[in-house]
Amino acid sequence: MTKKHIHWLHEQLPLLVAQGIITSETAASIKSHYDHQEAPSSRPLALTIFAILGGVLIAGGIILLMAHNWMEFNRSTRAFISFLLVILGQAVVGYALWKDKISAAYREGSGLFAQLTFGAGMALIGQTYHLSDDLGAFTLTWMLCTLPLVYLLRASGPALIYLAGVTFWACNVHGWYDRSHPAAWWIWIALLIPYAVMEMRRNPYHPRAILLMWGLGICLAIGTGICLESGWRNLWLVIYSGMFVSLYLIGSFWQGEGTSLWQRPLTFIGGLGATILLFIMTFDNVWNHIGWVTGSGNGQEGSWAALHDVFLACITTLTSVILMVTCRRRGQSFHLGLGILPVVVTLGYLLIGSGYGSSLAGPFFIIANLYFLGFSIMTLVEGIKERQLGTVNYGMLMMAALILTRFFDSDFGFIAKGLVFIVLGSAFLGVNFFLARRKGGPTP
Amino acid sequence: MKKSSLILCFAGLCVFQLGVCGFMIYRWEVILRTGQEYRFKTRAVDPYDAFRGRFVSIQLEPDYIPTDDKSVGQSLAPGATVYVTVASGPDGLARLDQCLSEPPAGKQAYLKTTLQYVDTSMNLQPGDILHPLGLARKIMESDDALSIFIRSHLPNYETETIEKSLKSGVEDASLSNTLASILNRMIYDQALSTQLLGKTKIGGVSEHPEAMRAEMDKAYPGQLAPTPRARIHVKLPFDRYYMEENMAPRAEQAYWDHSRNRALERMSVTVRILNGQGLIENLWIGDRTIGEYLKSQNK
Repeated sequence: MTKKHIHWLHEQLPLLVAQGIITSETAASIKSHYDHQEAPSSRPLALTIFAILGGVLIAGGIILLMAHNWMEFNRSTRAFISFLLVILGQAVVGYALWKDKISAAYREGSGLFAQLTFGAGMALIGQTYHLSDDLGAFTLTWMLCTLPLVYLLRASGPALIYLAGVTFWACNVHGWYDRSHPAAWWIWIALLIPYAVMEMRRNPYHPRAILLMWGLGICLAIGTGICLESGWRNLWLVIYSGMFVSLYLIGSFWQGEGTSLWQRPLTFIGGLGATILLFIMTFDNVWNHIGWVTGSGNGQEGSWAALHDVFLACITTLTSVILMVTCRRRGQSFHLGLGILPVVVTLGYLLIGSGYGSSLAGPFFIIANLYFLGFSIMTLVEGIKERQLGTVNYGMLMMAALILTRFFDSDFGFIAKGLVFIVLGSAFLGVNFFLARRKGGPTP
Repeated sequence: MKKSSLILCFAGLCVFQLGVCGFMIYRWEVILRTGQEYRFKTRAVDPYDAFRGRFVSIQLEPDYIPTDDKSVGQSLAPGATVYVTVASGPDGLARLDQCLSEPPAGKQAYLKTTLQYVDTSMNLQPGDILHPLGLARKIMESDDALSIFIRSHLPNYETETIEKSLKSGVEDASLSNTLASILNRMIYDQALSTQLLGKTKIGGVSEHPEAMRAEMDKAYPGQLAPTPRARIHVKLPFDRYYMEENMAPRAEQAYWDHSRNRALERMSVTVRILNGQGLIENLWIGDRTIGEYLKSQNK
């Protein structure tokens, strides 16, 4: 329970007593119960944040001192300092592991410190020998050598740095000249999954698990795009819809009872990503440019790199379908409107791409628009039903975006657009009137 | 996990991390101690690396492998592993010699690297202009069709650069850059192509760069280095020399000061090469290392 909730409770208790719903004794015991709970909740989090900041700042300072590049130091002195930096980080972690009861704050701080001092040691070696600009290889070596710290210390801070580091590597390796493919990024991400599963099983609402899920969700959204080969035109629609919906469903499955947006990172990233994707699909351009191998990739069509995309499309779509079935069987609450997105997109991609060609692009464009409209209405209704202003606004925003873009769309004649707008407007008014009458009150 | 196994795993990680650092140091130290030494002429600018600090960014001159085999771009794809042999010229300066798909037999020094791209254009590099002042004078004073055309098409700022250099008699890098840029424009100029070669344009730009290049050689004999049919650009391991943060900008300044005066020796870099790997040993201005040079400037 957050401070805000407790404050609200404090306001409500005297009113409940005054109305005779609860006795003053009950009110006092409820108050003392939550007051007692409030005290220990914020301190460890603050300590952890300070420890993380402390570790990062000290190690950052050391990196900057080394970056000054003292010309007076010869190669042996530099080698000695490199080892010293690495050992310093190791000693701090060693102490954390040796002591029996060590705080989470110290574990996080020491893990980050050791991770950064190892990077500083490596950077100093690179500086000493004037190694050329291979930042990708430098980052990858650094990240892989410090990944075990995440498992040994059970610390999410180093895990977040690792995620950022390997994703940076993927950006860096996607060279313009050498056309190398960062498919190994999936392996580097997979190395962190056991830790993520462990933390989620332990307590999915612990800040450590939540932070990790934010990092993982954002990295997956960025890294997938970097790894795409793009030889298959618009296959990213299938891949991203499968991935976002999978993230959304995993989030609903594991962190579905989170009280705030902050506590549901995967649901948020997956839901928002899938909505944006669905919105992109309401443009006819997307459906008109679907096809098998094209010349739009970076020259590796038909090679294993293009197969990587197909493989990814199959995996993400299958995962989303399996997750949806599992969630349904277990009675988990989730938005079915989003859940079926990968199926619709894959079906469209296969049908249009398999030779029926542009004849089906038109119908799928209309289906996508109806789908988006239906989804926004469903969200709106759900928001009204649950009295969640955020959800209502989300639904309204989606609908406004769709109406605005279609209003300015030049592909339809003014008459057709005008008629559809009038029909839709009438339908809204009709539903409003019907609902108001059923409730028996005046139309708001 | 039990505490003892946790500590054991951590000890393993410590040994591994120290081993990685130790291996890196050992690998580069062996090259510096036993590799063959070569000296390249170089250019320098001063950039910044968040982790490793300031460095002088180095560009070898020339930084490509010239070849007359135009088909090399078809046989080698960008990103392919190539072996570049290094040879020393009579002036004691090294140059990139051949680009091979297999390591060379024998004891010839080579670098194992990746191909970036093959440039088959006729474009001139600033280094291809052998006597910038002589060429500038010819362009401004000769009565041949090419010079007249160039003069009538020069923007003011380029005319000013050339006239300033002719007046002061200083052959600096900006003059070479300007001349190379002018001649490269002329190679592809349609009006000039029609005038000199009597050929009309085909497609968007002049389709006769080789004939135009030959016209330039004819008009300015001995002024331009022969242009290779293709230039192979590879990723070179000699691209940065780390320096103390306040020294790197001064090193760049020293390079520019020197390049303005041809009487002085220019910047060079000594490298060590062993088993396909290369490492920078020192950066030189004239016969002094960059550190010694900057210290002497302080006095």
